[in-house]
Amino acid sequence: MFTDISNITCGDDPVIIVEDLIKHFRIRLDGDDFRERVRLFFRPEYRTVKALDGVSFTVRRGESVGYIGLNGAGKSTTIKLLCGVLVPTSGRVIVAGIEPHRHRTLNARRIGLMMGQRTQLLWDLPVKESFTLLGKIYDLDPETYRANKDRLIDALDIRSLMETPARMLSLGQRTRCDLALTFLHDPAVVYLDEPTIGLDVFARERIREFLRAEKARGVTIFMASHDLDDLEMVADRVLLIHQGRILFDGTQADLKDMFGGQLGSLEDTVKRFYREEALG
Amino acid sequence: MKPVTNSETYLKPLRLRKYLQYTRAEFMRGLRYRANYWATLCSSVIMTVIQWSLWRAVYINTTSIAGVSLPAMMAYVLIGRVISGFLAEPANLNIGPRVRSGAIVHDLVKPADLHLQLMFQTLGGALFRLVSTGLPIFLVLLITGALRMPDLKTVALFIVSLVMSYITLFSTSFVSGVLTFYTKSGVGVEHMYTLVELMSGLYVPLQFFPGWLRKIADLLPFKAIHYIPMAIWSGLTEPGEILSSLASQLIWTAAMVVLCRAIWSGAVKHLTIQGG
Repeated sequence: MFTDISNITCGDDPVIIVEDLIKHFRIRLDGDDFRERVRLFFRPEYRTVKALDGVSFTVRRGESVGYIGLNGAGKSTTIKLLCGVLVPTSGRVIVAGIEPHRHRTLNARRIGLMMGQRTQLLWDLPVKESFTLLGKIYDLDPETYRANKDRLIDALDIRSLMETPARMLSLGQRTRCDLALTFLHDPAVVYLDEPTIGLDVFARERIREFLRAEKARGVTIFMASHDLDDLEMVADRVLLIHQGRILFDGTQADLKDMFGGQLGSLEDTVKRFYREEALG
Repeated sequence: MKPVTNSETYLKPLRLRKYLQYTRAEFMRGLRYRANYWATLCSSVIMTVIQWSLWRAVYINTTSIAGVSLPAMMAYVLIGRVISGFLAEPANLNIGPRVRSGAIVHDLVKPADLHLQLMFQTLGGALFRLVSTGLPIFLVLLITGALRMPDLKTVALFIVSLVMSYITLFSTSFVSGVLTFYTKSGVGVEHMYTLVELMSGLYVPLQFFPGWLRKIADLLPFKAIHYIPMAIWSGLTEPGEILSSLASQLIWTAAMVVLCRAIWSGAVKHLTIQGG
């Protein structure tokens, strides 16, 4: 009954609202030498890591946002907070009208998450079994299930892989299957964390095309990637995060305009931005 | 914005059909490992033969040990062999490694409860071993007359007991799995499982234990895993005492489930605040 997500939020309202979001982690200190380690074993001390330090942004329904940041900037933490698997230290996250961490299961029905470094395929079983399982877990009615499955299989060209056990797939094949599973239940918002990591140029191109097609169907896409060519092709808007703060929020054209528009690719622009605004 | 007040209101407490998909997938996984299957079957057959000949030898000059007759003893150990696959060494649930590798995030963003998911998934493996190994051994034992069927009522109560045994066994491995995530060490119940099997009465009935050990075994939850169903089947538990035996098993089972829920909600809280 929740597969039709259109009636939960209104048309053009923001689907993601993030307000002054702060996430701190407490890390136990390790000590430098033996004596200190012993002391810290009996009397632990902690330091606070500010993974997110006051992040605000909104994403409208159907928008596709590229999330850019260096390693450790807070990208994955943001995605985990948006998925409801982390609780904010303070601030607010609202996705499709609910706070994800308070309604993790309900939120889970409406979103898709794909992490390029992990798989959600059943490792020992043919790919089709992962589809069957997820179809049941998301309570899809048989018609929706069949229609979505067929559409995704064709779009990602994975029909020939359905009988193959997941562990025998190549990385590119596995990624395509994982993507199909992420979109199977008609999620309103899809979070992608490095979806094209380790893939060859052709595989990446196919995935970009797929994401553009899903975007055209109205899916909101929030994508963190180090591959700026991916983002250039897919993202309407980019967010640049650095040390837990948003440094830039706007369209790609806006970003390029900052440097008089003389720079070609998004990658060159972002590099220049970091040199001048963040690292300099 | 249309407010969604309570995400729990529409979630039925247990959506059996959904979770049975995990059972099905795990059952099928068993079918993929043929070599493993034949090895398990062979060792089960050998263990059954050993148990059978061992107890015949033990009883050669006597009709009763610790109040247990040879037929009751045979029924006890042989039904133990039949269900030993179903109630096998707990599957490594990998909760600790899942947390450390970050794979747990995928589990937490599914509209399914990980505790129930693992319970039903592990059930798939247990059922596979019951059908593929336990059942053929059971049939051979019946045909050769080594094992006799008790009356239907006892069989029905035995099955009820077996279901509770499964839940208790799963719960011990689940609790130990969640604890490995807290302690960040890999030492779980699987490392001391032989002790659990002994205290649960898988190899010898609790009647054979010296008094002090019997007292300990009676206090532990493990006898709810093997001893209670096996004693029901073999008649070591008098027909009049079966219901009270099942009641005590139910208390253990419920206590273990409550413990699982408590420890799991604590773990989820820790995970979502500290991030693993």
